[in-house]
Amino acid sequence: MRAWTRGLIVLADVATVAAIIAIWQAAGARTASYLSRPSDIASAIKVWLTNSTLLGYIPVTLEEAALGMVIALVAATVLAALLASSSYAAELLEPFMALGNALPRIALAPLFLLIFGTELKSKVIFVATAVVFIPFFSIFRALTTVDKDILNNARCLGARRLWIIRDVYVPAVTSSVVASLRVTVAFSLLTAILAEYLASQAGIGYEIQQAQNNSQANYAMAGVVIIAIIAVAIDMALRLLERRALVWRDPS
Amino acid sequence: MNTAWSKRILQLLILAGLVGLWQLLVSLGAFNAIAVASPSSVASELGGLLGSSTIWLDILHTLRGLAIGYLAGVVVGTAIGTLMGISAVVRAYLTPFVAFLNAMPRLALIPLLVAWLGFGQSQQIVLVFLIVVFMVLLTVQASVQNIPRRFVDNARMIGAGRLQLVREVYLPAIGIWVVSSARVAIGIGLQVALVGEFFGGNHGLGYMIEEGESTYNTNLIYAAVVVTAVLAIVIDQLLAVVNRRAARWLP
Amino acid sequence: MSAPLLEVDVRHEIRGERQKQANLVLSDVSLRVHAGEFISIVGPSGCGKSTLLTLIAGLARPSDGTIKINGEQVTGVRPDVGFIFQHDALLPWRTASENVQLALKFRGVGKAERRRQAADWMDRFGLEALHERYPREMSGGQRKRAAIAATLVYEPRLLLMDEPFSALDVQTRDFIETDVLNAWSQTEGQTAMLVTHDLEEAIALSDRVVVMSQGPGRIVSDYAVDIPRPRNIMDVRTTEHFQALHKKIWADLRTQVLQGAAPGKPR
Repeated sequence: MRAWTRGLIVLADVATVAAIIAIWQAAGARTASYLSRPSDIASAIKVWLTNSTLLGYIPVTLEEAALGMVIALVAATVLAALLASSSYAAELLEPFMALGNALPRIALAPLFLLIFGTELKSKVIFVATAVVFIPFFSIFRALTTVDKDILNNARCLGARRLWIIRDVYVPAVTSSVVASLRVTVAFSLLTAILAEYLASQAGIGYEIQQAQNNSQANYAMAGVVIIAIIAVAIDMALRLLERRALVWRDPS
Repeated sequence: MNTAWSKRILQLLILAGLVGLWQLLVSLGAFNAIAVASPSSVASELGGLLGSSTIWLDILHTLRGLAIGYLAGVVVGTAIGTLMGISAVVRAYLTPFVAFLNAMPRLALIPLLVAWLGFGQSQQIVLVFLIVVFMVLLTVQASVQNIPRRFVDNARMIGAGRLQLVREVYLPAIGIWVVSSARVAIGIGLQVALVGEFFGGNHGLGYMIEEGESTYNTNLIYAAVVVTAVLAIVIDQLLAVVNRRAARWLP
Repeated sequence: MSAPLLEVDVRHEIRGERQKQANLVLSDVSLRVHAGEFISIVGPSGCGKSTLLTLIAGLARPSDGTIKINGEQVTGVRPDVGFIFQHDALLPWRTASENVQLALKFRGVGKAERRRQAADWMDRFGLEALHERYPREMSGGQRKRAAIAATLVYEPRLLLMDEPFSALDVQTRDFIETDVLNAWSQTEGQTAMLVTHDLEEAIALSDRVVVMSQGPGRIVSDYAVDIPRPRNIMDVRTTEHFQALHKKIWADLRTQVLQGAAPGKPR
């Protein structure tokens, strides 16, 4: 594609965004109850910035998501390593893994909140259990499909078990984690927010829910916009990371 | 003894053991009784539910929301994904929007949807649609771009017009991918459909879970969860069968 | 002498997606092919022979020059031209018979009639038992035969083949080449163009062998192969006539190949 075509398309994109915001603003009065208006949303965000609500609540949500994700990754690695080391164990527990995966986990949020209460730790546990199967299947597959040739070669060269773990399996695990990271992170953030919607006293999701209850559509939308910006920023950062970290990967 | 059988038995024993452990802990009062129900009480609640006719209405309600949202997502996702796969210009234009909307946690839009569409089933359907459409779009786009060039070239050489090209080459190739990704997409769609019922309406399995939570009827919650789990597994297994059939053609 | 079926006078360059420079692939190629000829094009890797075939097929347009079939300029894919790809392009979701019927379906032939014609062609290529098989369920050789049948079924006036036999083992190759040669000679006036790495194959099958230079390619020599027909593919290679031709053309080809292999020059 010629460079000028590309430039034209970028222009078209910018123009489309501008048009959407303009139409949205104009439709203002009619959508005020649920969609609010760009100008009102902007002023809501300004209010939040000045009274440091954002600084208070964004970290809460991110903390829940991050902690839950880390726990999920650790648990997934341990579980995958366990199952990968014994094919008997893998075959035995495979239906349980499938069951865990098939369980509508995010639908279990109310249950978790009931059992574990509404403080931070319950949301962290919820996020962890919801997310764990994503990295689990990825890591498990990576561990069990390590190129046999690489393994045999290593053994012929006289490598000991520890060396093999360090230089063959660990890279396999880390690369599979990185590859599935974007989905894992996105899902962690999502489940954290969902949990906050249902029952919480803090966090961005809580803010949105509050605003909704008080019929303050512009604050609710402001919350959504903030989340969107954060999520997209994280996603873009992860894309860069993925490209850097997986440079050696065969595109197939 | 046949190893396949011994494995099955071992699995059942593990399952029985877990349930038994659960029952034991509850009986010993290890957990807060309000929060955790015993297997026996859940079982009786389940029995009662299955006896009455309302549970089937709830199941149908959830399935209806899932089906409509999923099908709409497949249709729209396939259409846009195909366009983006075929035309470089369309792709360049739409990709920023798709990437943005895809990266954004769409479940965060729930309060918005409820405010806009009220507490009926529409907000649930739109929610399922929003999640499914992007999964399908990206899958379809990738599948169109990955169709080996020679399939298209060959079809053209032996006389395919544009319409025939779409019908004989593009659609089947896309269809195969959509079918194989359906399992994951419907699995996620089901969960989203349930979440949609937390926030609106008074039918559906999601609603039952939410109702159990707000009335502190933990038996109901667990019973609903069991039904949901069984439903999810049944759907998943059905799709696995469909996948196996389709695998006959896959190169 | 009658007018040639195919007239090629092209110069072709390819520009990559983001590249500023264009790559010259074919430099001033001129070729005339007459109806009923079987002509092979050989040359070192990268000489552009496959690209040339693609241009003749109408799958791409030459950046400079013209290609004419029967006096008409080639502006796109033509219904009287057939192309056999190196890796078969059978649709995986259709049976062998359905794949062979496809060209007829596009031409509006009725179901019963096209099934009959497809069956006829499949028999000619030894695929009687495989009508309902899917490509996945067939061996490489069987798929290649089906792919060839699927193109020959509409009896194209000009048959283009891009290294179609290179992925086959030697014995299968001989059998399939025999079938293709038979089909060609039985189809009135059909012209065949074969692009191949294998000089032996080129001489065994063709009336003419054209040698191309190292890329950007041009035609350096044009040899007549006057071995009488019908030929026995498996035996023809051992004849003195064949050996002499091979020696002569190989010397030429070798020069072209080596020109690209000068020390220090990237291959």
